[in-house]
Amino acid sequence: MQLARVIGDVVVTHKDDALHGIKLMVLQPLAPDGSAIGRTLVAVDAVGAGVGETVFFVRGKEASFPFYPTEVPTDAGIVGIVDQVDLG
Amino acid sequence: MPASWASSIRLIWDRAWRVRKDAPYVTDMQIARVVGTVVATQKHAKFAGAKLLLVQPIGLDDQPRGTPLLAVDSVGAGIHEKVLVVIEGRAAGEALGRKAAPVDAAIIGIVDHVDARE
Repeated sequence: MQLARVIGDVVVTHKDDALHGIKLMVLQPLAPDGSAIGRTLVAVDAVGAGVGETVFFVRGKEASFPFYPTEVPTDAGIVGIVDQVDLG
Repeated sequence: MPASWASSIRLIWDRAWRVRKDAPYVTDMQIARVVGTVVATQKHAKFAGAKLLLVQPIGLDDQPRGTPLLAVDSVGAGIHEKVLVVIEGRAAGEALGRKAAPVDAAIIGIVDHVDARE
């Protein structure tokens, strides 16, 4: 998983049937100190995240598991909303 | 199909995956340093009770290597400890002990020391 900030959402009218009712968000991956790192990406939302929130997301086939048994065609998914990061 | 064929195909697949330019990190098992903890109240149900730690993969010289990532902890690791991390979905799900959990990385051991010659 990786930390990310939700920086926007994507509206898609014509999409795969399995994606109906699923929010697509634009993510900026973050380093532990909160700075942007790497390229932005689109991820499905499994927890009801909003724009501006810090979240963590999973990559790969596992991103579709929250929607089981529907087989959602995705390779990235938000699976948690971050309250706090403690860097010791 | 002979087992050797299967392993060759697996090797080619692994190489292809590893050289993908957009892959954020290599998917081998790695040695990493725990650099932080993450608190998340609102998360997918399969994460209930799981501890989430930020880990920075490191090289044999203890220098950071690649992007820090978030892993579930199955061994009780603490901050600043050197740990063994799997970065692959099925392995991480098994470490968490839950089927079909949406995880892609898990801490599966605490490293006592690494003995590497060349």
